[in-house]
Amino acid sequence: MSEILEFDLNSRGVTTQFTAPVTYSIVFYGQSARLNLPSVSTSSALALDADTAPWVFETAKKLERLGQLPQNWDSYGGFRLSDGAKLMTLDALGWLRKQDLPVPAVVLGSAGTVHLEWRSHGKKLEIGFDDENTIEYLKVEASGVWEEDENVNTDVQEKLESLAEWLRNS
Amino acid sequence: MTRQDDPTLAGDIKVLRRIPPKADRVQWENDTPTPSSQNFRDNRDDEWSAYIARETTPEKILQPAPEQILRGEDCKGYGIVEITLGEIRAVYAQHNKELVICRDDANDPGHILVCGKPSPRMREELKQRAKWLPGYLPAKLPLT
Repeated sequence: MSEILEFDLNSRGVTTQFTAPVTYSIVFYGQSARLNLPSVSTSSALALDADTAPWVFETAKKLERLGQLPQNWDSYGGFRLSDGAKLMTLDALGWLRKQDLPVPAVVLGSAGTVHLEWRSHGKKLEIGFDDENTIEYLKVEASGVWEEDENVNTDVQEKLESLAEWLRNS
Repeated sequence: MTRQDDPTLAGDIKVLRRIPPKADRVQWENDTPTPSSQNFRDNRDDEWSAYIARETTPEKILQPAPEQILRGEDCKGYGIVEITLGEIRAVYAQHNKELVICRDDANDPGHILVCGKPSPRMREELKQRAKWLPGYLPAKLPLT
């Protein structure tokens, strides 16, 4: 039997459903809440508040499902989702939780990495998270002009925020 | 062992690559599937593999290996894309990236390795050049 937890956090009407077999827990405190993913320690849980955008919930759910895939899940010897990549993605979701973005594709890389892929207003943005606190990104304007960096390991939060801003602004 | 480039693996020789339908490796829009650029790298950053189309069949490359069968795995729902070796070489050349294309295992007919780490932009270009093999679209999985 499916166990469904409906979650309506705040005045923005954020509603999401968590369906078994994945079991999530949400701890409320005042106007805020914390989403505990089953495979992540409580101290690394994703902090939520009244301004958390809906895409953050959807992305966290997809991320958790990626963690259930076994070794060689892609038939090319693909690795399981790495703990480091998952935690870094959760950090990013926390940093970007107030940004009004579409739900991205949440892609598992064969090396256990996580890649968020957005298309919006003719633009494309891909951000990859690995096990070594490094991100890579590719952004492509509607005109086709592009920029990439394979090795961002300083000022990561600022970089992510500027990429999200770029995607939001048409 | 150092890989050596095989210059005969070039031009309009078509190669095939399996595309898993899960983990958002395929994105659907209006019933049209698009492979993620992540399909053009393997678990080691500097190598990915494909099959020479004329030396195998789509059915063979979708057959699970014996060890996969033992683990209860299969390639059900996988799609297949095709791209020419000339197109792969062009993408690497355009970005001045070193590239070695060579055969892999004599026991795995038509299996080749593409050695050279593709950047995010290069993976995007490989994705754009790859086309679904007619009749081998991936399964559309329910939204997760």
